[in-house]
Amino acid sequence: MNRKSNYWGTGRIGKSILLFAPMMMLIMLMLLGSASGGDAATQIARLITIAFFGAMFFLIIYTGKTDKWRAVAFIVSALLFCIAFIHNLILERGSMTFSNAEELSCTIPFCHIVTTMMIIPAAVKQTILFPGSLVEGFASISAMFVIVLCFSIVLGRGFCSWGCFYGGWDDGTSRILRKPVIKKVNNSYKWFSFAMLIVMALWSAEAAEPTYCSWLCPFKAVTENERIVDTITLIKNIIFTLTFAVLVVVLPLLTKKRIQCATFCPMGALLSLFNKINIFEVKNDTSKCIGCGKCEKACPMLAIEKRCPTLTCSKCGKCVDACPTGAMRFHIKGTPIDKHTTIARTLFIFPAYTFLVTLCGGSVANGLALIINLFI
Amino acid sequence: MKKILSVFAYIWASLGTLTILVAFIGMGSWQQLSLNLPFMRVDPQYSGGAVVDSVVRNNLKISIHENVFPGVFRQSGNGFVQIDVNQCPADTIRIDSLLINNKITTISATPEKAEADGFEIEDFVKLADRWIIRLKIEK
Amino acid sequence: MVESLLIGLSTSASCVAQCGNIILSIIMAEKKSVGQSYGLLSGFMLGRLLIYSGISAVISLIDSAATIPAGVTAVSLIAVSAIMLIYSIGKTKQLCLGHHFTRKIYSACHGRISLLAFAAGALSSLNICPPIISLIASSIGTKAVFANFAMFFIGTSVFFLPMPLIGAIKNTEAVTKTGRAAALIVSIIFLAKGIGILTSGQI
Repeated sequence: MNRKSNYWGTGRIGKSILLFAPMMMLIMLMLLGSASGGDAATQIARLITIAFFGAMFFLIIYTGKTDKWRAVAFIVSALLFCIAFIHNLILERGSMTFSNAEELSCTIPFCHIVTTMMIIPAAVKQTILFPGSLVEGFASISAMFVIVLCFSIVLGRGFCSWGCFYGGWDDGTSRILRKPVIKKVNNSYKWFSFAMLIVMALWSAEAAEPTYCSWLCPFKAVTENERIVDTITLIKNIIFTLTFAVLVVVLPLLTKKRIQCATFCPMGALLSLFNKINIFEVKNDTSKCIGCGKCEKACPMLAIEKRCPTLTCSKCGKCVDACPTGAMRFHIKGTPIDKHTTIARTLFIFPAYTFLVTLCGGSVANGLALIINLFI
Repeated sequence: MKKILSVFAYIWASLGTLTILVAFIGMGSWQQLSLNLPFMRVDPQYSGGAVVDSVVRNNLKISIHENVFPGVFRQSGNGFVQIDVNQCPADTIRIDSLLINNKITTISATPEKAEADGFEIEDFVKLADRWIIRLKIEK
Repeated sequence: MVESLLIGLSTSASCVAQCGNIILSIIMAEKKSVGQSYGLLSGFMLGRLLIYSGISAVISLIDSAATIPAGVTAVSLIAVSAIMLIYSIGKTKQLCLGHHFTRKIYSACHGRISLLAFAAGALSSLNICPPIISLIASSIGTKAVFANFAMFFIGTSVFFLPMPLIGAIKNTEAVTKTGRAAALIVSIIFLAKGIGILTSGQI
């Protein structure tokens, strides 16, 4: 059995550097472009961040392994994002919890998952049903609107593996054990996220509040949540903690699947619909497929059925890396499956990685600066 | 035909990075453009609604917002009127003769609590630059 | 009324998953044109509307002046939650009585396919499916019973409309499973609402 080549073959360092160079320039542009000054820790952190993202991209290109190095960058981004985010909140309001004051002053950061609950009110009442700022502050509504539109069109559900600063959590916990304890996870569970999308969208419109955020979001446990002032807020915080523990830590650990992302997140379900119009996809070249099923076992998003990626594929590249014959590959719709596979992969990785760096790079640098400040 | 489709597909795929760069580098402009969209306004149940009157009472600048009845498909029977005190007084304040929902009321507030004649207080928060008082109203 | 529409819309995925398979299988078996398939669907819908009108008339006659205590509402919400929970985890085929009746009628009415569609719609509406129970729970004691059922009918009909466009629904497994999952989520929401009423001191 031929191991698929990492497209130019290991050792073609020149071509790797050729691709790495423009990305390195982009990384420096996005991370240095608007930032200047700062104390020693900030400057060191910025340099480390640039070197880190550059190194990960080089390894993606040079080794030909997409998922392995993408995951490192993705998981680190998620962890440091949360550190930087919580620190920001403490600086602004003195606490990672929010109360009536933040709601009434409309200063709650707008998260991309809220988009799913805003669709019906925006269409019916032409308002944003969220206590956020339209233009000011961290994660304003208008900024997130532009970002959501951008990644929906360019990446489709690829956002879940190349941008989402929450996804890195269960991507990380799903990789801790070498082998799954729960070996078989029914792919049908992924439809639960579509049910979440439908019910949350309708329930939010009925209740006139973003109900997933108010009651269910697991990531409230690691970002911001309501201050506990009565029984209701206590119950909410218990739910947040439980859903985080179960869906983001325990189940991904035991199954080696991204349970929260694959089965619970309504935004993931919405982005799956964008996969239909997205130019990039992961496809199986059946002429090379030997039916070993490694792709299906490897897929963390329960997206592969009968060795074909389905609507919920997040283009993480894990199946591409796992495939022993190179049948699984990144593909551009409308082009021949058996030609220019290198170009297809490169054309996808460039925007995907650029998005990761742009969205999370600043937070990674800030989070790193906070850690460095502990030591100097 | 297939070749033309392929070329078009590659061109479209190549635009991905450019799209992301344009979106982030020009974020300020895109944000301003997006504000022109009809749904780009925070729901009145959070923003308090539009200001319908500004008055001065006892050297305090007061903004009175419109009546707000929350709901998406239908308005709730219970709503509120938001009053902004556009300073942060350290002491007790008294706002006389405010016309709220066709009733004249007097609002008194300390940094700890607020009271209004003829209205229940729904919310009272002190921000860095102003106090917000919400009075309960019914349809 | 809007709540009834929302009950219809939010549970229509599970409605399609269970009852929609009946009309879909008829449409697919007949292999008619899109226009003719919409004719079949119309017959199916007419049967549903007739039964919903009947149920609403019965409820309005029985409960014209009664008010339901908060405790009863809470218990009924919890009961609906329990049924939706069982329904969602796949042990509720027995609850859909209409499913068995329509299969028998199909073989008896061979040739009169439009009548079959009508009968299928009427009988599948008779089944004590959880969305109907939740609608009855929310309609009892209100004055707009018929309007509630009409809105529920419209809400549940929305997802039936694309059915004659067979090509639009290739993955019926996705619809079935999404519907079942939606029923589970709705059961949790109903349970929380019921418990909320019980613990809020309104009883």
